[in-house]
Amino acid sequence: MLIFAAGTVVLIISELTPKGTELWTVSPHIVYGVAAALFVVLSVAPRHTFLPAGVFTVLAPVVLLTGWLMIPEQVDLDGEAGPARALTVRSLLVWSIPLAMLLGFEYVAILASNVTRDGVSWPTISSMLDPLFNAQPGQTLCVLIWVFSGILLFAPRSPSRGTSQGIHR
Amino acid sequence: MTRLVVLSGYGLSVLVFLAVWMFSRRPASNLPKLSNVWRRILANRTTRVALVIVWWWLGYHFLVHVIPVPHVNVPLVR
Repeated sequence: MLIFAAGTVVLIISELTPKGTELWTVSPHIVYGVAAALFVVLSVAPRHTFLPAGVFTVLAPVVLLTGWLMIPEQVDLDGEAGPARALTVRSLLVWSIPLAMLLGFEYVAILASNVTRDGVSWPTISSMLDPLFNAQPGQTLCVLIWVFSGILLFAPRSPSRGTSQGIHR
Repeated sequence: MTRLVVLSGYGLSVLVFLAVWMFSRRPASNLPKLSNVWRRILANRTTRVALVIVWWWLGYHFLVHVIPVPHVNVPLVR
């Protein structure tokens, strides 16, 4: 609860303060180095222990600050194949449909499993994946996917065409 | 039965994602590719920070936090 509250406060501050705070481009060497170190430590360390807890405690302010200050990649708002593929609000909504569906089912499962006290009839994604991650191969796979998605977040990529700002409507 | 419905919902969400992704890959499609949508999300500071928080929390949730599973009301069979 505290994490969600803190995250919400950060996002509100981000919306209320002036933009243009992006200061640096994150070096891919640093991102890959940190990713490799995280992969090794978190794959080996037992889950739910002090070591991963310490890693995530240290990581929180670092990634938050990096996400806040990093210079984002320029976006091709006109689309990679012409205006027909423009990033309209409508097209972003289409992409958000599967995510909204997944979160909707997860939300219903969380509520229902707590109300009925029946985690079998109302399985959440976490409760299904947790036993899988208890085994070492599962934990390694979990860390691998998590670290790879972190690289997608922080590793700078080559800029694409176009520099215009704002979403087409 | 309820479990099957919930699992079908998760499966359906994945299938819809695959359908949208495949549709966006077609040359004649007017839907932007996932990579371009991803870059657009990262270009905005608030949505970028939101993604960073979600990413951090997912790692914390699965590797540090003990996931509570509501107990099961299964009658004892003797």
